[in-house]
Amino acid sequence: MKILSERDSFLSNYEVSQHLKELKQKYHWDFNGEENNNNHKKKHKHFTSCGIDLEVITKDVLANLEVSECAQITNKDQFKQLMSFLNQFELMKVEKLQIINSLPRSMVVLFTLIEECEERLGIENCETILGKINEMFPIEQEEGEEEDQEMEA
Amino acid sequence: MFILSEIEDLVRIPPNTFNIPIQHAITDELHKKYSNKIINNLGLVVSIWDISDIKDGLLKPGDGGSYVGVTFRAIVFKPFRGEVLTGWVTECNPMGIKIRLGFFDDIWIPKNYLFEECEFKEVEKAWVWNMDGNELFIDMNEKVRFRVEEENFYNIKPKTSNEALGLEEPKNKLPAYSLIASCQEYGMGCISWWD
Repeated sequence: MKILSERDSFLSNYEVSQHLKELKQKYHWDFNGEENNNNHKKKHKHFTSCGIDLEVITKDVLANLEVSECAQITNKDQFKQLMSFLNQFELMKVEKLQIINSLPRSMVVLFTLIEECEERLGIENCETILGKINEMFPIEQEEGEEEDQEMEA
Repeated sequence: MFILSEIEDLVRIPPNTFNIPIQHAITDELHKKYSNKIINNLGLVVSIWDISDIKDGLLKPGDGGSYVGVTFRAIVFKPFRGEVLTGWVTECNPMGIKIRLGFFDDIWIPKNYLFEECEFKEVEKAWVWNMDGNELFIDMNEKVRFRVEEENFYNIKPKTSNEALGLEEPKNKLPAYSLIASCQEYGMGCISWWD
């Protein structure tokens, strides 16, 4: 084994989750009994030729990504739209990547992602970014309240 | 969080897969070999992304399989230094906090990388951050945001025969790949504090 280039390129969480979902579909894996229909299972063979490890890691990574912020991106167009929006600012590649991965909603979170955010972008631009994210991926209020109740309970 | 790494390797294609297209056979073999494995000084391999080059197969006398040199790209979990990630707390002790991501669980925030006015409460088994008089708890299973500071690799050697038989305690308890993280700035710590 020889590693030709360690960091050939960065991947966003969205791209990884798309790739793993494709794998999951290709091998007809069913991680949490989503398809209870028995006939359905018989029709599709559960492929194992790629080894159990791939199935384990696919399951765990998808479980993590599904509850993370990037699950709010539902299609490629949204992804492209946000990316081209971010391109108008002078941001580093890794900063844009982190914004796409974690979709910050508050100023304080955005500040942790971007170094010297205030000096480089200015408060107005920060607010535009947050506004754009909120506009593209609105948070449903009900969900938030439910979570709050759970937390209190 | 994830990167693509380009790797070159020689894989053995077993004879029983000669009837399926070679890309599929190679992908399967590579998945078997690399998925969910840690490559020293690289990171945790998730899956194969694509295959860029397949060389002609080589034969070895006395072996029915063919050996094929391939160049491929793999998805590797390797957060960069300074990246901000979120995870869940699995353990709180006087030394620090342990974080889990689900697929990768060896993330450690030592106490000197926590907020300055942070102290460990023995009774509650939780870290408490005194922010301007407010007591904020970092409890078990809480979702927290942290910054990656260091990555450590440890080359695990094969077990000795005594260790494998259970006669001796294995000397090494270190994980092959672990991350040291920090939680010191505004915006870090429990997600619920900052929303």
